[in-house]
Amino acid sequence: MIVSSPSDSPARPASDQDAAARTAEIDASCRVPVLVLFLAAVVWLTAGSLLGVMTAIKAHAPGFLADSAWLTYGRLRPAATNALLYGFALPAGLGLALWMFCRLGQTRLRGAAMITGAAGFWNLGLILGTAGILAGGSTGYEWLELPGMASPILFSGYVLAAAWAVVTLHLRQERDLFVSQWLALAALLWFPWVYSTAQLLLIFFPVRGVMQVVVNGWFAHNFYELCLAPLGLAAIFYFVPKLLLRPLHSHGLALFGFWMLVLFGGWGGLRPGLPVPNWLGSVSFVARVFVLVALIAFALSWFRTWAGARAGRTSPDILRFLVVGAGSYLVAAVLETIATHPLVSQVTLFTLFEHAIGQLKIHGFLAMVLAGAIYYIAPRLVGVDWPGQGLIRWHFICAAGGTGLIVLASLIGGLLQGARINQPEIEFIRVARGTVPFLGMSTLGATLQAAGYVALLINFSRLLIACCPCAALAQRFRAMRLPIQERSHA
Amino acid sequence: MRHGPLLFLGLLGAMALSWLGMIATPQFQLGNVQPTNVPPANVLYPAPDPGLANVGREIYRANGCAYCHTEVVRQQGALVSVVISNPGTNAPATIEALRKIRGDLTAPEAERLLAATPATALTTADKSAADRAAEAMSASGAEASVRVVPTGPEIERGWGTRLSVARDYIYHAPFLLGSIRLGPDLTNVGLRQPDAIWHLVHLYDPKLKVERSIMPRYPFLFEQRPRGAQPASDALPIPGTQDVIPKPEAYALVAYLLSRRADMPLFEAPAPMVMSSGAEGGSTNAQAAATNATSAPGTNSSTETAPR
Repeated sequence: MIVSSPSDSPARPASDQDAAARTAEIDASCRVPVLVLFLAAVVWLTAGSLLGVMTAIKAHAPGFLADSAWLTYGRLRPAATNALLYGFALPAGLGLALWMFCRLGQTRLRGAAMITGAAGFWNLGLILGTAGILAGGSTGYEWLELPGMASPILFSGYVLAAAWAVVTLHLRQERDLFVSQWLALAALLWFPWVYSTAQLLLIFFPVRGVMQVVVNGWFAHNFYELCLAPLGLAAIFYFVPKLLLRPLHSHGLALFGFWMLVLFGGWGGLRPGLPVPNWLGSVSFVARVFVLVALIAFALSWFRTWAGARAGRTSPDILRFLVVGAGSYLVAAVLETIATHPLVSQVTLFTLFEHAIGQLKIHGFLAMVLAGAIYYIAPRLVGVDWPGQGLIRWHFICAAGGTGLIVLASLIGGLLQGARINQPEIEFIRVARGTVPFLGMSTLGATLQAAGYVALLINFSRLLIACCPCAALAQRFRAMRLPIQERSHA
Repeated sequence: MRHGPLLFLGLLGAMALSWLGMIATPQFQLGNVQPTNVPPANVLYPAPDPGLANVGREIYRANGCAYCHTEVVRQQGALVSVVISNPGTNAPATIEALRKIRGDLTAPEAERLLAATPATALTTADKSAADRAAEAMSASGAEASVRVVPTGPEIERGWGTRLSVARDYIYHAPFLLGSIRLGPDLTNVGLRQPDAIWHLVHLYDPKLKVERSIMPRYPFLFEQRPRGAQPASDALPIPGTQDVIPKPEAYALVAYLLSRRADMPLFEAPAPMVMSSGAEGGSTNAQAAATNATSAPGTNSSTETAPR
């Protein structure tokens, strides 16, 4: 395996042998914590998507499992979303950031044991929190439903892990920072700031009335725009040049896009039409337009890197995930900008249109890109290639097809729903029934997604079983058992 | 770029700016909105929710009702109307004045309109025309005033009389705004459907009340017992062989739903006083709404829900 930092001027070690040894050492230092983070992430992704399937069925078939309080629609839906956001996206992104900081910084991971413990802590908090939501303890704020008892556990787990990531970045050998490192650092720092602000202002010392909407909207927007999305972007910026075996087209362009995103990405998340002062909606729209400029810079930089590189690319399977993810990111951002315009939000606000944007962000962008990263990183940590190449293709086709189906159905269904709500002569029950065909298509899409994620889980489990410590343990176990059996026979 | 600390400071600065702009500024503007006295009825608005409704809000939150229902009414614009509250004594002059404003009216029609006061003489988008019309009517001896009539599909749908504003939500804790309208808006559901038993039956099985409903049933808010010789006194009036008896959670949730009314005209959101003109009528409606909201669901529900 060739170590090639995607930066333009990678510090080349003296010889290839040295390089290989160094890479092996770096990967070994990451092995346990990153694999633990990825394993938990994949399990949560599967669990979240299965909960999502149940939610989708219940949206159009309200009789399905209706007798159980724990499985009512309004509890399953936040449980599914939170499993995907806090169970999958953030930990997978964190694992990616840790590995990238080590590889790009040419240094071993610091605090590996602490990070592994923190991951356990984080998942404990998440299990408690999800059970809390299903038991009726949801806070009622979207993307922040995990009950107040879980959030301090999550927060401390996160800080423990992220602090070591920052330490590792600080102690890097290769001093030049690549754009993926800026993005990942922004994400790692942004999360504790916005999460603690939102928790304090909504749950521990709640603000009054509509300020809750402002804080909630601000948090959800910042959490996606400057925490989850930069982790996904970091993966794109890292893997696209690496898989194409080409340097990134222009650092200046990426730098410009990065600062535009950081400066304007945090301003927004409030649609015109909410019961908040109108200027908040206007500022959100203007900020979104500036963020589009950042996106153009990113897209240009990816495209220029991609153009003319078709011959030299490796791992087309992984590249597909990244390309679909990048496309989804751009489309979601454009759709969100459009939906923040007052004329459009008159129709699309409070409809399935917003659901489509959310699906595009979580499944179309984050789940795609981060799964691509897992497909690249995990075998390098384990030292074994993926056991099921067919499963990777299966995952891609199911996830892309399912997400596409949900997004299309929700976009069209949402526009129809909004248009019908705005025609007062149409009875509301007809508006509600009108969404049912689209909700049905979403169920089909959610089932496909879940099938894809199950393929990832199966593949990942088989990879781990084949992995050295497990195989070695099994061998040792067999070696231990053999003499015992011989003794007992004797 | 090699400078990690610069990157860190830049990020911190961007974060602080976003926080100042999007959290601190609106907090200064809105964080301390107080209840206000609404002039004609002179009631304090909004009033804190009654205790049982507050318990009901927790049931609403726990079961995620807000994933299908919103609590916000949007308004697209406003018209102004000239309302004649008293035709005065000089009938010929008022009729003539009215016919000057409304060229389409014949004399007998104008007379009939003036007989049924309070009557809307004119509804227009032109504020100065309405002012002039009101002046002309007053000059003829009638009592006329200009009122704002909010417009928009959600208002025509009957979801509210005006847009929702920050003051409506002072006591909403947590604020369950909602995100997707798979079900109707509930800002004024207590006005639209003030019948507690309707809501209880609807929660038990929505299809009993709305045939094609896609709302899930909430049977876990009810207790089911085999029916004896005659239905239990607090059983719901529904067909079947079982008595369905609401649990306290169901009563609380219904109390919350019944307390959902935001029709008080405010300075920042003017609206006609009367929403359901059939109910109490006149300017006392708002006050009646306020008192009903505090007493009806809480104290009556457990006794009055008995079907027979």
